[in-house]
Amino acid sequence: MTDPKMKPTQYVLRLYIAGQTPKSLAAVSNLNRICEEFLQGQYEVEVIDLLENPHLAEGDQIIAIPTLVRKLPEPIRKVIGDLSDTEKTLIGLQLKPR
Amino acid sequence: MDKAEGLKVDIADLRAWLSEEEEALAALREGRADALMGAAGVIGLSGTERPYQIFFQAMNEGGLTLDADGRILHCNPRFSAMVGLPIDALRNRPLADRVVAADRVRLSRFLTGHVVATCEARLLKDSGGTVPVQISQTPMELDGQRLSCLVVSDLTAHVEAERAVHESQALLNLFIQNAPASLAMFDRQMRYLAVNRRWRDDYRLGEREIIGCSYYEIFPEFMAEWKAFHRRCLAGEVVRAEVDRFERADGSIQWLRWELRPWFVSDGEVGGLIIFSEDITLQRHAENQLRVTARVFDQAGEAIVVTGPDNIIQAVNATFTKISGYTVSEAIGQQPSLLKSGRHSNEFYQAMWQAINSKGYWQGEIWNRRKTGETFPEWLTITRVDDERGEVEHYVAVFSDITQIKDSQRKAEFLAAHDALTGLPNRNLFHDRLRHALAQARRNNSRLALMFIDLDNFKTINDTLGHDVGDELLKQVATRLRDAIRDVDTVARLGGDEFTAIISECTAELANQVAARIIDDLAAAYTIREHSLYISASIGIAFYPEDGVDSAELIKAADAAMYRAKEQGRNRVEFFVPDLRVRLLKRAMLESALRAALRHNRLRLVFQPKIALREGHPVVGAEALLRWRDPELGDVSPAEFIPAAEASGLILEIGRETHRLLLHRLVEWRALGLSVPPVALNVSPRCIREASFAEQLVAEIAAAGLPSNCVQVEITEGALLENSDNVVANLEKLATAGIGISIDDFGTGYSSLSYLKRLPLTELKIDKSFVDGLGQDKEDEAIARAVLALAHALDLKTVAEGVETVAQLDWLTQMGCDIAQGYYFARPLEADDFKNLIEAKGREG
Repeated sequence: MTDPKMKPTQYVLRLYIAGQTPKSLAAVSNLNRICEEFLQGQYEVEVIDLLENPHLAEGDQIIAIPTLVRKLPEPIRKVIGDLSDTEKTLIGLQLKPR
Repeated sequence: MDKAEGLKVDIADLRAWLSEEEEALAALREGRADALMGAAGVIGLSGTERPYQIFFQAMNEGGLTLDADGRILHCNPRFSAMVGLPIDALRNRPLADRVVAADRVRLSRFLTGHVVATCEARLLKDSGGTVPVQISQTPMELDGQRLSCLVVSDLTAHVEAERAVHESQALLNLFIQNAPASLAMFDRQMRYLAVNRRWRDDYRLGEREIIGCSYYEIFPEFMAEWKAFHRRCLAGEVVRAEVDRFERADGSIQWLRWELRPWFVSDGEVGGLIIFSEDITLQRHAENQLRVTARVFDQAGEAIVVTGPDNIIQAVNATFTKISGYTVSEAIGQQPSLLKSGRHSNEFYQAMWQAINSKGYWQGEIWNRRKTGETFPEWLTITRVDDERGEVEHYVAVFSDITQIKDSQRKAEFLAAHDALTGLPNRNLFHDRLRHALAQARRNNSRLALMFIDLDNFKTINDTLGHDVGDELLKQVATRLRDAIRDVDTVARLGGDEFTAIISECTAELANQVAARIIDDLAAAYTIREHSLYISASIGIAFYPEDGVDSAELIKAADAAMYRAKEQGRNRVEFFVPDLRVRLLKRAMLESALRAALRHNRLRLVFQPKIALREGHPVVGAEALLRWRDPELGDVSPAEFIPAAEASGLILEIGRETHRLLLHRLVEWRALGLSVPPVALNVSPRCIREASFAEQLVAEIAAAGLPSNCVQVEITEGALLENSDNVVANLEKLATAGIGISIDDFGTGYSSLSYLKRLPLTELKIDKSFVDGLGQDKEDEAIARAVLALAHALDLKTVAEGVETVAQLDWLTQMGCDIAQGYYFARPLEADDFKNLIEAKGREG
């Protein structure tokens, strides 16, 4: 039985991309798939295109794109790449033990 | 801010950073991410420059910044290593100089684009050669200047991996093309998409254009049945047949194994089908062959065992089970030694395996054991089966039970050695058995009795009642004889009415009992064809070794005894009585030969040196031994002629001859100026009993002009025990004259210490029989030790006789024995040899 007062963990994710490159597109599509499959109803995703807002890279110290940042729950975690490897992505987000 | 403070970087943070950089770089290398080294990255982020610098310096990728003209402003050690030039040499030089000429235009376009992008190029190594790289560009502006940040990844490993992929694809294609089965791929309309070489060969399509053609167009004669199979497969089913018979156009039969398997496109729809077929005609033939072989194996009249190279049974046939009693499951996994009978030696099996290994097979007769425990003879052939490399693959043993053959062979052997009428051993076997029994008696030092048994008046029965009755009587006599003796003994029929019995380990008493029983048993009535018959027997008995030491002598003696029984009135037992006349004759011959020897000086002395057991082992004396070589009798041993001489009284004359011979030698040697040690004479008990013995010897020595101490006298311990005053008187006189007295064979008699004490002795000799055991036999050692102690107590010298080994010598020396003689030092020497010895020793001394 789940405690009705206990809210499930909420994931706040931010994906940094740079324009409509194939890697960026792949990362967006992979992230959507993974969230639907593993985090149904428990996530918020914000996609940031650094070509449009280069200054936004500063906050998360992004050095490569695409990079997925888990803002919440803390601590902050980063997964670099197009997220094509679901397993690696889940480990990176700590949704799966290493 | 304090500089030191500013450089203070949390090591944990740095580690976290570096691991993130690693991850980023891995993603870059694998093409999952692009480098972002813009204004936001390298520059202007307070607190992060330091980690970036470290990262830039340490990272495993080449990193560099270019100015707007494509010149290198700065690069990291990794890039310097890639091109093989120091960083200083690269600064302010165009990057294009370090790129293969063919790639320069592309590089220039890439750099001019000034956007986040990647391109591939080949770097020139200073040492020659090129490095394939991927270059990621991040454009940036600094103080109004256009710059490019580049990350250069070494693609050598990727290029090689790619080549490997291409190669493996080519390999796969090659594999499919050359697969030992036919493969073809069709689309839903059954149009050829691909075929391999084998398919073309199998269906005789040659190089005909078939891709895109329909299956049914190529094989218009194909049956409706196949269309149905294709339909089923295209509906998603795998259709297959393991063995299918095809009749070819030319009438030949082909056996095929085939399979139809659908292939799917990504959306899960059937895209077509793949046909796989394999011509198994040859296999079918081989299988048939195998079936025939298997039938032969199973139904062969011989037992067959197949083992692996480890000699573990892999297969046996039905006949094996029939002969051995072991079922297939009991035999498999075992070794053939399961059947070992224990009748053959290890050498036998070794020789067998040697033949198998060297010649490839072995054939012969061998005894094995059935499961029931019964042993049986078999005719066995073992063949080694090698694989194509010449290594053992199997051993195949084929055998048949030859018990029946052996039975008839045994029957023949039995008949050859036995009397057909009575079944008793015949003359041949009797001789064998007697020789065998004699050898055993000789070994065991036991007696053996040989009986000759002859039926009295058998001839009369044979003549009056006929041979049939006679034969029947012989049979019954044989049975009664066999019953009368022990199982270990032998009864044989020599022929006619002559029988014999060999009784081993037999005393006269036992022989008498057995003979009496035989006489009694044979005397009971025989009923043969309504006749009641009676018969008696005469028995002669001779013993080994008294009456004969070999078969011929013993048979002669037993036969003579049997004839005596007949002469003495039949139906009785007689023992062999040696003919006294023969013995007397022998003795007389020996005596006369001995007299002649004395007359013709055929006796001589040899000298056994006596050696002191101290430094240098000097010769301190000798024992004179008598030898007789007769022109007719050859060398006659003292053990043979001395008893004869003693019995006849000739011994006194021999004694005197011995004295003469010895004194003659001593005079001769002293005349040569040699210093001769005392030489001992063996004096017979008979001589020492002579009242005048000592006086005569002393007189003889004096007459020869010799000092009396040049001679010693040896008498046996037994001689001392003779109850004779003369013995003691003689010994005292000898002692007074200075002649030493040795007691020979000491330890074998029963002399008491108190008695010995009263005698004027000088030496005790330890008998050879005790010396033999020194160093090994505790009892012998104990006796020798006692003799040595006794001699010491009586103040006598000790002489060990028959010393042959260094172990004996060591023991004696250690125990304080004075003197030794024996083969270890020297055999008895002829007079001249002994003279030479003392001459040599004299010079040494």
